[in-house]
Amino acid sequence: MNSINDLLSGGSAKRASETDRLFALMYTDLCRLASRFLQSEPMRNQLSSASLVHQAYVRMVDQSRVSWQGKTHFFAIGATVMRRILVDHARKVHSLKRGGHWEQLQLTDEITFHLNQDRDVMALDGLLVSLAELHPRQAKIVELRFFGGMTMREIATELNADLASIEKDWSMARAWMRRELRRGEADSQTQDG
Amino acid sequence: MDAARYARVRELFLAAEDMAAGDRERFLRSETGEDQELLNEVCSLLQEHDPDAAKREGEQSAGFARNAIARQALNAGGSVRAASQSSTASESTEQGTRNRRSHDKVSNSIGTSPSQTGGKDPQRDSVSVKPRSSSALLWAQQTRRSRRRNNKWLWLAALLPTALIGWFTYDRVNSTMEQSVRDELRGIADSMSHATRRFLIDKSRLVESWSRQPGVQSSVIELVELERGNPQSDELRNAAATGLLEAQLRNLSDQEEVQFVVWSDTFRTLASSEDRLAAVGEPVSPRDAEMIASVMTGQTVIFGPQRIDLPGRSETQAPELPVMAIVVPVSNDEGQVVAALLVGGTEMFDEFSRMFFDVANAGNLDAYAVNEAGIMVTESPRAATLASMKKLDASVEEIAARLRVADPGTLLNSNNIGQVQRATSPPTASVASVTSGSSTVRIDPYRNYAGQLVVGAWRWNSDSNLGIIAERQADAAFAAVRIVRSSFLLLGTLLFITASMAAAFLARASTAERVAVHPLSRYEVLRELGSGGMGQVYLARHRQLGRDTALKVMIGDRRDKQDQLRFDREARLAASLSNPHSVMIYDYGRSEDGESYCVMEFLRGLTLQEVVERSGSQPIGRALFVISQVCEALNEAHSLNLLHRDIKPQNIMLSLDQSVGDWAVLFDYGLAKPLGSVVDTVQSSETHWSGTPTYMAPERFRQSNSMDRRSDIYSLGCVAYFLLSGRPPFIEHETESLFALILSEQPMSISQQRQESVPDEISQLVLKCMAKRPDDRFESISQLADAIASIHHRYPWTVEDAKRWWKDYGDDSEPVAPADVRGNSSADPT
Repeated sequence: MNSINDLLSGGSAKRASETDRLFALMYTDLCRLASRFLQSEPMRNQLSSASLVHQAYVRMVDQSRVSWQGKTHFFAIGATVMRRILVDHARKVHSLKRGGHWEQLQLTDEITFHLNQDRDVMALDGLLVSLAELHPRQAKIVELRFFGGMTMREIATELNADLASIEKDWSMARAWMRRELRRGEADSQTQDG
Repeated sequence: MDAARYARVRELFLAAEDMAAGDRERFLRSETGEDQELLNEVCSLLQEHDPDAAKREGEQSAGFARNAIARQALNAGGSVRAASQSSTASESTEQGTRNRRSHDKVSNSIGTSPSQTGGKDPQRDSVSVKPRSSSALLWAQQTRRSRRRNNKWLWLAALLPTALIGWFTYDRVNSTMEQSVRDELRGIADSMSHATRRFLIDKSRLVESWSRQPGVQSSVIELVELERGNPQSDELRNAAATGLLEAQLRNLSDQEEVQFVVWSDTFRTLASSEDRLAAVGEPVSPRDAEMIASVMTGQTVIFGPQRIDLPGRSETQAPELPVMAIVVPVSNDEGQVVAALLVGGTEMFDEFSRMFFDVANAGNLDAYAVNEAGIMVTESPRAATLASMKKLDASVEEIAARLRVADPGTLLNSNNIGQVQRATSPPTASVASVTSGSSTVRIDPYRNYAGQLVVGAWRWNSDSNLGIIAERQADAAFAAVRIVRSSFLLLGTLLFITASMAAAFLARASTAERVAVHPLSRYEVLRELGSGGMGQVYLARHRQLGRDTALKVMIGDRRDKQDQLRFDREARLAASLSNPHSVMIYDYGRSEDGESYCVMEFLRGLTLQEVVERSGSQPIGRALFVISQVCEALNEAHSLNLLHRDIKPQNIMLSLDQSVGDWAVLFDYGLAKPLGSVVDTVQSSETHWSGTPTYMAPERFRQSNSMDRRSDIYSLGCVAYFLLSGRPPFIEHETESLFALILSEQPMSISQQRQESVPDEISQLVLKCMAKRPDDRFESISQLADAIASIHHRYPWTVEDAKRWWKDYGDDSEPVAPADVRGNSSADPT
């Protein structure tokens, strides 16, 4: 486990290969943890990717050796890991149960996505793929926000950008996603009609 | 749309974001120009844009309805820590700021408590439990308290006598020492006083006898008669009688030189050996007049010791030595006093002073005499020594009959002797006391004339008007006491250390003994399986048999005698259960500290809670199969009049039996369950073992003591409901609201929960078990078992089905060999 500490305490020099190694290490660990939650609906409601990542952090990392930035980095990678786990799970359930048909999303004012629902996970993942092509940084912010449970300030640290620009990008990405979702809603309604 | 175009959209979006509605439209139209599509794109985004909502969502913990989740987690978990978690959750609700920190808190508490994964249940292997103490450590902990207690008493036993005896002895030695110092000083003072008096009396008698010598007498009378003619001074000085008198006195005193003076009753000096004593033919000096007057009445008077300074003497000359003399009356033949004769001089002073000197040298103390004015009249050897060491503000020659015995207030040394105002300082305690005529001993140290701390004794000699003082330095006087004190302290310390070591050794030995005879010392504790307010559950291995067991240690607080008896009875009954679906009890007992322990069969597999967590609602056939097995166990227990009292999914362990299929075992029988009000116990303690009362029968909330076997039937019905629907019948975060639900509400129908239709007979069966009124339920477990048996054949659940399920879901909880468990534990990074 020291390797993780070494990877994180390597500080600002985050090389891609190191990130990949960290990703692999965390993926195994988080997969095992998450499977417990994903197997049944009541448990699924308790799943919070942030808490899982936090658990993984506590378990895997010697906190005395890792700086605050190292922690943020860990959480950022955790977000990617959790995205993969949740999406994989949603795909599996989707193909098993629902015969490929997604239930309609209900947009509320406050919350764009409910990650404890597979359809939201799938929708978010799809949107992220599109957004990544248009504006990779906004996609990253959304990923860290939803799958990592990170706050804007933490995201700003991780992306090495100033808070104001991150917040602006976030609000635009949010507007974009909501717009896209509404369009999807409208489309399906017209189809149904 | 491509990335470049999106970038353009972004630019416009960010620019227009802050503008007012009118400006915004104008700005966008001018910027987009002909490109209507771009304008629409930006406008649609701005329509969705809500900066405040975005900020809120951006600062929330995650895209979760966090509170709702926390609540569900708590109720579904149904664990020991439910209450403590809920407090955390409600805390974060109250704060309303669902910030990162409180989120961490929640997730932390979920993460660290095994409850969330159902890991609290004792008989189960769980990945999240930490490796704990070895058994030796555990029993050491158990007995450490008694050892500390032993230690305390033994220490007290060692310390108290030592301290008492030491104090007593020291006190006695101290007072004895003081007494002996007092006695010694008093003795010296007495003997000095006596010797002084003796000396002066002897001297007086001697001189008196001389004065009665015919030769002396006649010479003096001759002088007196000569004086009657009122002669000139020279006439008197040259009188033959003077020479005759001197010769006679020299003869009598057997000395080369004799100092003498003769005064007439007319107070005129008739003869004198030296002019400095008195000038012949002159009238008596006023200083001597009083003395001569008393001599003329027939008394003998002692003169001095006193310095006689003649006027006109130069400063450089050595000061005159003090003079001491005896003045006796001389009578004529008719017995009439006609003259006063003084005999004496420096020799007598020397002799007098030497007396003190000898005593002082012999007794290692300071001895001197003072006169009424508080002037030291003898030459104290210590004062002389101090003066020669420049620790006294007087020279050696100036001590006798000149040094005022006053307290300088501080210890004198060569630096501060110049500042002493001896003439105005108060007299020392001894002088103040002795010149007022008292004769006493003072043990309480005071300062002497050189500022040293001394103790002393003094006597006033009223005959000679002299005070005799003997002083000893305080530290020298009490040196013996100090030695005794320090050696006692040392001795006491040594004794204390020895006693403490012995005590510690004894305590350790007794602890080791206790550990050895502790009934649980047979078990090696491998790790902790779970813990709660009432105690811990450990995985323990019997040392001789090598059998793995679940060891439950219950802390003995809030138990009275009656409760203990009840527990004993229930343990006996639970141990007598022979049904294979009941957990086997190997051992039960109570330690002296009031802890009870219970050694049970170590069950492997999954609790029903976990089964549902893993695969949701269960097939009807399986639920009936499991419930009927539990019924068998309960039937036997009820026939022995033993109630389970806490049937819940966490207390039923399911495993795969190769020939039967699912195999359920019911555990945690009535042991250590309080009979008091459930409401109180649940609410009174956050970490109380009883946790959530989700599965408790409604009548238990009302009258907890009225519980009968139908309450177990209710709980079993709840378990059936849980298996069939995949959710507990009632979910509510607040304990009180949960009580209200259980008391009044009907649970959601099973078919609604399963989202598929469920045969009526099944839901009726479950609802009959879960009826609010006990009378509406099945009469007994056997009735329930019969009801299940009558319908069971319609809902098959085969061994193959069970095997398939276990293959799908049971993999990561395959029975783990204890060796592996230990290996895992040691490899665990935490």
